[in-house]
Amino acid sequence: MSVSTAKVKLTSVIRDLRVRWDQATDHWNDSASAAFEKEVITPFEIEVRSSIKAMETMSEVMISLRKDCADDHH
Amino acid sequence: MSAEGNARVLDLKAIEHFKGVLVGFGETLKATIMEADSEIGRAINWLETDRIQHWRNQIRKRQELINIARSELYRKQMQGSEKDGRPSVVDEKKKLQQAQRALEVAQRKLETCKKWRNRLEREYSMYKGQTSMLGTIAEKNVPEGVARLDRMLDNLEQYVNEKSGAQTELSSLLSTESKESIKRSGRSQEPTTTPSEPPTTEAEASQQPPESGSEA
Repeated sequence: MSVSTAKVKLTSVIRDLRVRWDQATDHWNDSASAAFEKEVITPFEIEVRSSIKAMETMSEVMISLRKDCADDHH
Repeated sequence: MSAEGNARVLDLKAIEHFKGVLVGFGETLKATIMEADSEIGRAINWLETDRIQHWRNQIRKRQELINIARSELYRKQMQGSEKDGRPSVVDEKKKLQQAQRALEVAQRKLETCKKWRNRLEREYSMYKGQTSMLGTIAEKNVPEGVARLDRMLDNLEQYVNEKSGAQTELSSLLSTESKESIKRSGRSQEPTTTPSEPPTTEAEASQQPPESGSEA
């Protein structure tokens, strides 16, 4: 798996977590679920999104690295 | 959310199911971090052990090609022409120029790879800093979240079981009382209070159980 693939996977997994959480709150909707969302789910989303950005940058870095250091077919 | 701070859980399975989702999320996170790190590691290794050495070798080879091209040019210049004694050296000069350009490319590539070594180290360090929380989430926060859901489920299940037991007891008492009442009155009659149905998790919603978040 490349950094780019990891980024795509992370984007998908955090989107899925949100969808599943929203489904869970259809059946569980009280102060405890609100606290769980605030203290667990939302921080996960913030951190994962920040990591996705870092992976985007790293992915571009890897592309440039490969291009710059690749063979010139001389 | 109930304003009184009581639990509003329509289906305990929803929490149980989400707990599984959370566990899966943690596992995916771990695998993703590992794979991304692995690719970056391979890139660092490729740069360090393959590319830099590759371009050093290329410089050596291309210097040899320049030497060969120079020798050919020199040899041609030394050869006499049948007509005017001056042979054409256009092709040899072209070959020499090509070899020189190829050497310059290899030298630039080596410099670029050396610069990349520092840059990649810097970029990787920044990347690690920005993604370090992913590891903490996967290794620490997800298990904590799962444990928190477990505690909530335990409390809610305990509450449902206690309530179920109390209702069974109440039903039994009502039934006994009804029979005695019939005996006392000496005539057959239907009980005035219908025993409650066994509680369902959905029924809990309207009966305000204790806070689902209250942890033992």
